[in-house]
Amino acid sequence: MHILLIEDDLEAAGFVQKGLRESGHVVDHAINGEQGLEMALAGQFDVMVVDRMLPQRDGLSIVSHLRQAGIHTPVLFLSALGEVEDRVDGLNAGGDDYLTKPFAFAELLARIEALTRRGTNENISTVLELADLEVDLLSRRVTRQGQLIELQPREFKLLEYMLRHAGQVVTRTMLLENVWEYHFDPQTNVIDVHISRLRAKLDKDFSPPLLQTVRGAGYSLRVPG
Amino acid sequence: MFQAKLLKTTTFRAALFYLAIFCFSSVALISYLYWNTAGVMMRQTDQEIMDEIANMSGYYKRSGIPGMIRLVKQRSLDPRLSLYLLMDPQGRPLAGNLSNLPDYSVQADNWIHFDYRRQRENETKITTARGRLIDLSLGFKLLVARDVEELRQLDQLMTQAMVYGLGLILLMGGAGGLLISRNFRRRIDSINRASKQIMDGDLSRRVPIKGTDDEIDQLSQNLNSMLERIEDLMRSMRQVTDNVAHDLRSPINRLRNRLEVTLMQDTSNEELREVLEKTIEEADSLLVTFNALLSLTRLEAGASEVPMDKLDICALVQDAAEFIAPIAEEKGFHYRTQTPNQPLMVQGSYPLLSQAVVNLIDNALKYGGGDNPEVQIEVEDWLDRVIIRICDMGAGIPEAALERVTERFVRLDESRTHQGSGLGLSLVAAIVQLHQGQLKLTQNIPQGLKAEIVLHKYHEHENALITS
Repeated sequence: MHILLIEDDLEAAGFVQKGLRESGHVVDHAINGEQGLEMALAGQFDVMVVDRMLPQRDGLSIVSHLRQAGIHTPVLFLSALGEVEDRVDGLNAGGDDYLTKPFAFAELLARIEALTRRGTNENISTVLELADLEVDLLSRRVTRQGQLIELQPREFKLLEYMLRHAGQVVTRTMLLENVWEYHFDPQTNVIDVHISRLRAKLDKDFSPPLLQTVRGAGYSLRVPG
Repeated sequence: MFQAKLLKTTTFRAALFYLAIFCFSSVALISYLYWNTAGVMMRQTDQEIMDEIANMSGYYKRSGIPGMIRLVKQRSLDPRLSLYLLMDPQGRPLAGNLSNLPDYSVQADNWIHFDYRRQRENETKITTARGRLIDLSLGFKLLVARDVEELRQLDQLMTQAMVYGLGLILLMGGAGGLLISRNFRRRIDSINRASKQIMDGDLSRRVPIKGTDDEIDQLSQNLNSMLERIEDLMRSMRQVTDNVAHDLRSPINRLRNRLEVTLMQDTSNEELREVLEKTIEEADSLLVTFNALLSLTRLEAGASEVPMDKLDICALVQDAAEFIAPIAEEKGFHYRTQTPNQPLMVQGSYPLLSQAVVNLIDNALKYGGGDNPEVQIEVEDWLDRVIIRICDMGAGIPEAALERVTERFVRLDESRTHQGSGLGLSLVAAIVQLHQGQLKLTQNIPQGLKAEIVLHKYHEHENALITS
């Protein structure tokens, strides 16, 4: 994947670049707002990671500029400003996701990957499938090997989100934000408990197990191997 | 230096300005009075003399010198009338009540002034007269004058009054202005002095209050209230810094020690990985604390831009309760949620209020365990308020500590067996305050803690008011 990173903190940028390259991505780096905008307008990127506070031109301005120019490359904002209103500002300016500093690299990686596949995986189909798992979004029926699995509404939402990001790593924060719309750390392992309940319904009587824990990062719904 | 400073004060300038206006109007008033009293009398006298001269000239034309001599002699007898002197061409007196022509000074319009010896009621006195010396034909001259001593005195008196009056006004006005502005200056100076000391770091200083409840007192009171608030904020800042130092140093220290020991030992890759994972975990929990602290600070600073929406508190509480329910089940809690059937709308931030409710429930699950683990979550429709109530049957909080638990980093179990930053209740309190609500922590009956969030219901017309 070709990623544009616009970040003025060289050390942070270095660590993000290294991590992304090791995960198999190509990274271009701009160190200020003007350079960032220039590169964003000139190049073809799959996703952009934009710091909000930059010299010469701030992140919000870059993204609104790009959107006005008709460039709809997914943008992930990085910011030290993490409150609700800042997040809303970021998304209003045309950002697709928002990550508050300091962040775990696994979180950044998971979100970048979630952003890029968003377009392709979000098809019009009302049935989502993974191996022998089938989820009908209209009738809200979940089956595995043809057997019906009963889910609570929230469990259904959780499964739907994971299925839409099948094969990708989904972090706890992403689940919190997207399934519950909570933007805070509940300071308990409640997400893990929700996942293990879902796993009990999904994987207990079937094989192979689809809902997997990714150590140090989160979870992933995928066919193992 | 002090005087120069004084001259620059606003009050003194205002005093000077009023003084100038006052002087000007005083001069105008006195001039008017003068014109209408002494002036009128003077003009009247002049008119009388002119009339008399006209009269006598007419008589002279008809009766010649002899007639004139007779007339002058006759008129001279009446002391209330004018002063007369008729002279022949050689200047010798022919008739009149003046013995000879006195030394005179010529004034404007050929009027003359002279001093003469006046005899009245056995009293002789040199007084001033004003009149005209006219040439009759053939070199004869006639002096007609009036005693203007009283007029002169009046004039003098009025001039004096004017000068003294003006002097007095200037003096009093200047002194008054100086005094008032000095007084004012002194009070402002004392405020400035206090501010200076406060700026230099003595936050306990207060602006002195005189007790007169005038505008300066009110200003001082407001300044003092402001200082009170600033001092409070500073105190809590200091407390936070202390707590941060205390609460964050030990985990960082632990982390560092572990890394150090690992570095010293001969460690296998497997072990290294384990240590690193543990380190990341601890760093994450530190970050959680930092983030909570940051949110708290911003909330308490009155983050005015938090988007507030109209939302159903029942749905919010149900979502929160459902979100955390697996934990309750896992811990074997008796867990009940009870909300009214119809929606109850409040104006608020969904993520923030959810956070507050989740925090409270989580707290109840953390500390509400015991022989009878039970958590009850209720929403109550109470007049124009909504009450979110979370009760547990645990050990509760001792009465004395109830006030303290919303402070940062306060955890009542000193052993710190439960994980958490010690910021949970502080965050809840800050969120509730941001929504202009109340957080009540009381003893639950028969035991445990009862936590209540009281919020105002949404009213259509209050919409603008709350969001502004």
